[in-house]
Amino acid sequence: MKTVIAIFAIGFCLFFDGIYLKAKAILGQHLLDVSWQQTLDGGKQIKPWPWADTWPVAKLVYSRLDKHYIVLAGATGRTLAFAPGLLSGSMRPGGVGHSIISAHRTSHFRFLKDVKMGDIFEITDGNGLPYRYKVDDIQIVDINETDLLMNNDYSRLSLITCYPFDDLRASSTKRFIVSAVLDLQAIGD
Amino acid sequence: MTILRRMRVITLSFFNLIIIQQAGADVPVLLFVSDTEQGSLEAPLLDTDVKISINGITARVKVNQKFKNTTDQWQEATYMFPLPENAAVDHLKLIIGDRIVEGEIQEKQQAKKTYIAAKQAGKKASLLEQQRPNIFTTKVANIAPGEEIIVRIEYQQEVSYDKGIFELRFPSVVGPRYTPLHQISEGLITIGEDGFSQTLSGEHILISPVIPPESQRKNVLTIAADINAGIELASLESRYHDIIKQKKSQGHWATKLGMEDVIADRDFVLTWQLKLGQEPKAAFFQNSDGEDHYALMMLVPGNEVFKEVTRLPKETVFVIDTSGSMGGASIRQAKQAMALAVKRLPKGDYFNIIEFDSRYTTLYPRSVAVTESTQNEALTFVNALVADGGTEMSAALHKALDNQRSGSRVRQVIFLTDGAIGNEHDLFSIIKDKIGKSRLFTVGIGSAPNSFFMKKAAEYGRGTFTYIGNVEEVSEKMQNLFSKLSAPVLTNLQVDWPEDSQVEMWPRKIPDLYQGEPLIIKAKLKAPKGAVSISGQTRANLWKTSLNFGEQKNHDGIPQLWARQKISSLLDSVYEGADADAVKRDITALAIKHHLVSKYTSLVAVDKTTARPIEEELTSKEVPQHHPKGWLHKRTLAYPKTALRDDLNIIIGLSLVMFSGFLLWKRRRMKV
Repeated sequence: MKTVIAIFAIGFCLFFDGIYLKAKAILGQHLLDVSWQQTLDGGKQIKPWPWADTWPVAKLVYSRLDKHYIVLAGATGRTLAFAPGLLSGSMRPGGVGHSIISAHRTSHFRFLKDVKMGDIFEITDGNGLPYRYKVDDIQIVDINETDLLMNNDYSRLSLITCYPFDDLRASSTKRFIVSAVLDLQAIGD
Repeated sequence: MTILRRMRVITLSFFNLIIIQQAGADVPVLLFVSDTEQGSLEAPLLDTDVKISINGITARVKVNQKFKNTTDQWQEATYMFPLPENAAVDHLKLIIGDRIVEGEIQEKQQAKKTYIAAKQAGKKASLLEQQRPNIFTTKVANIAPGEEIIVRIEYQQEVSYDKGIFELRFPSVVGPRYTPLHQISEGLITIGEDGFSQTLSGEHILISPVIPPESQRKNVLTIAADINAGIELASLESRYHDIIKQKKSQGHWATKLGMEDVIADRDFVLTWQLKLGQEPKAAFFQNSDGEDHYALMMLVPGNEVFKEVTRLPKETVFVIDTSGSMGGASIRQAKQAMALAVKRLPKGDYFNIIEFDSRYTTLYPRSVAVTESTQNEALTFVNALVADGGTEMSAALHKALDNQRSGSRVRQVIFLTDGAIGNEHDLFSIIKDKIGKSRLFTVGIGSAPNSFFMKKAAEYGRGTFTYIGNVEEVSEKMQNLFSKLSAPVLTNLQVDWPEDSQVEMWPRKIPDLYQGEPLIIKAKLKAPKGAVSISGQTRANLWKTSLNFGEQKNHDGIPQLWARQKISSLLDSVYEGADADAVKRDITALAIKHHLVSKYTSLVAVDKTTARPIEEELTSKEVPQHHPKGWLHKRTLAYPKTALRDDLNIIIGLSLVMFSGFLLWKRRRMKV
């Protein structure tokens, strides 16, 4: 009987842990709404909860699949649990340089597998300014191929998640990268 | 029962996995790159062969990078490597067997296109790009299985001279630089004022894979140097490597590394002295291409210029970098240097110490008078320093340059760091804006300091840069620095060129001179006649000297050195408000004229014949580099970790719950 209880307990813990991670990813976005609104109203570094070490920096919209995410500063494990993260050190969206946003393949960025060349990503920065990026490159790279990260000559947005999407392990040696260039024609609108 | 036992083993091992994952859950766990061997194919092997030929105070350096493809597939190799920050890179050659393909200079994007087109067409090609003024990358496309290809890079540089010692440095490894991205890898999140450590120019990520310590891979370095000083040498030494020396004639020596299989993990530094009493007071090199005349001069004001002068009270602020990259030998050197400095402080002066990693801590809220008790407190403070965390240099710089007391007190900020940062330009603007009456002296620590940053920082801070590569040198170099700092300066330096010669001179503003330091001036003129005179003010009297244009001798490489200096000044002008597009145009034109690699131009060499059949695949690999000697091995980071175990946990969890239900049901049935 003890064995049965133990198996049940372990199973329950694992299941709950998995659900907890999922719940964080979904709830996180709702919790961020308020601090994002405050950021748009002119606030700086509005922490979504008092002990947070991050804050909203942008809103990412992919309208074809009705995906919209508030993006946090930094791409640490703590941040990515709640929202996609803008790598510190990468360019703020809209700037001349490379903006790199990453998120988990099992939650926020699962939809990347359905993105097509030429698709549009809309991103709003902390001042409420909108930018449109057009996907011009989708590739899978080995984590050793860092050349791509050095590509900072233009206004570029790259969305990065682990690959393959359906791999269950917690580590991966491949990354799926959707890369888009700033659509300059859209700026005048 | 056996099933049950097996199940228990499986659940236990899963339990371990979960614990591991949980332990890491709140610490940002990230994936590290570095281990290129983990891929299916090995990156091409690399040997570097360096031939240095020194003539007076200039040097011509030929670097042969030999890439060897050890796999059975066509490969493209990328290699990131450092060069001296004053190197004027003007030649690229692709050597395939006994054929040589000359590289040509092109605008950067154009060169990239040329290279990619050749690569896709299956032709052998090489591209040499500047990533930072002192960091370059070579790419070689279409190396056949088992083939060796040599990429030859040539550059011109001037040798440095300080207190009678000539020095030439060949850097062999790029220190894994700290860009704000690394903060993530170390789990230390310090984010700049505006949300993320932003760089003005959008420059951010420079990552080269690192050879793991357990790997068999070796980037072998061979170096031979030929020194023609013209005057008999008093000494000739290599600071960090064993060398073999051979005298060829009066003042002409040949040297090479004394050991085989030397790996590229530290800088090669050659120093030499001329026979006593023969130190040059002035060296003057010229070159004329018919239209323009180029001049390079080095002046060393003799010691007799500086006589007794009353010492002014000083305020000294020490800033010490205690970030993770300083770990190992570097922090030991820095602490030793600091202790020495604190002990040497004269009573009556003022001082303070600021240490920083992800944040800064000051010894005192503001500078205090030097007394025995404050000195002891300072020594305790220094002794307790530990190297870990990120490098947030800007806050510490602000702190060091804020709250300057007015009055006649000389204020010197001494900055000890390895400069392992990636946002140089932001820091330069802080220094420029805030330097005020202070002087900034940078001290480079460790086997691969970012000397570009430290030299420039000192330039903006109107101070000097000192490099310490070895623990044994700490005391000597710090003593030198302090005696220099206490020595009177030669100020208001002025250079008067012959009239109507349309001079373009670098540096434009001549800095203060400290004892024993040389002044190097590079200029372009039109048909100069007569002489150039240089004068300056010591505290006591006027100092003056002049040099003749008369005795002409064409010296190679002077136009390139001048152009390199002009490019660097043009780049700086952007931070002083010049129009970036105009600067880019000017630099591109200048670099193309002088065949130089720059921020906006690259050298590209393309072979005419097609080598790789198009249907065969080409794999791209980055050649990893050694970890700088003395650095603690910390793997370099690339992509953030974006995989979670949530789905797996749900699946396993749910199946275990169901399995336990099944067991229960079976048990009940058995009882029944």
